[in-house]
Amino acid sequence: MSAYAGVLPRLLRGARGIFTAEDVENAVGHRHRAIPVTISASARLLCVENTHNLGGGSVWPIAAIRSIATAARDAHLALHLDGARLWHASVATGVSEADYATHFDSVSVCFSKALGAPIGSCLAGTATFTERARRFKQQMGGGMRQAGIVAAGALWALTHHRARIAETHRVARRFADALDSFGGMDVMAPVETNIVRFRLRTVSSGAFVDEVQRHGLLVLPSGAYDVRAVFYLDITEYDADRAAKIAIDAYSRLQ
Amino acid sequence: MAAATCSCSRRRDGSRGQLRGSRRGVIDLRSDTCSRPTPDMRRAMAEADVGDDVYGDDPTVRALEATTAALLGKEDAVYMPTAP
Repeated sequence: MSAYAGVLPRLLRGARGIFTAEDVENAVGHRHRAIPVTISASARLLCVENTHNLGGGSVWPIAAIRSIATAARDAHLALHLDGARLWHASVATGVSEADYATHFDSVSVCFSKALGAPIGSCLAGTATFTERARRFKQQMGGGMRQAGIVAAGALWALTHHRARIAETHRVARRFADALDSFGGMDVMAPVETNIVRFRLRTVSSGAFVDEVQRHGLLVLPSGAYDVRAVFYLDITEYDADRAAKIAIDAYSRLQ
Repeated sequence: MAAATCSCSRRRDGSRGQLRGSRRGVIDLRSDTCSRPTPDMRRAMAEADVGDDVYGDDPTVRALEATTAALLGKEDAVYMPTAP
């Protein structure tokens, strides 16, 4: 972000990635004559991630979006929605993608994250905005000539795979429930979409990830004791049950 | 860690293969980007109508951008390789 855009991100804490209007107001700061305006970087853009990856696939309720959007407008901030997994939020809440997007100036969505496309995302906004974006895309090496070959995969995913997201959520919850009933690992709850994060009480995430890999399960460590597992349309209920068994067995061996 | 770099496209022994969802018994839950195109998707890709997108001529890219923009209620959308 800093390397390419020349901006300083300021992270808002929130609960599982979901912050409040008050958090926005506090982050923007209050002007005072004792602090020269030349000192601090001015806030220009508020970004929201929905669903939230580090929040364990948490979903922003639309009321919370409305509230932070008002705070952002009051502070003269533009609004961007990182909607890589926006499809999941819409399936989980029944709030359409457009109803989420209407609160934002720009929105990015991903076709490969659980939609099953091989490549690509879209950045949406006004025509003036996308014209600038197209220039940056070319400048940064994103120009692709006969890109229709990969775009066709994305278009297929968009039209055929959104309907399968609810099934993916069920499979993710099935895995989470199995870990939960075992009791040795703390699952970030509730599991609302396709991401399951869990904390190992007495085993390091690195050792755990290596151990489950030896038994045919690939997951990612996230910090010293946390692990991430992400579900998508290729993963069946049978896979989820087997993954949970591998995880539980590995944890039991390592304790 | 070997798996972080290898198993999306390449087996441990370096050979490539037609790996699927729980391919060769491995369940890959590292990311939802680790999916494989379905046969129908591959067919749609193989048969896609194409043009030079840098000149804005690729009809399939334009269809994807228009569909996405409409779905999001925005004026326009740009297809990107990644984000991020």
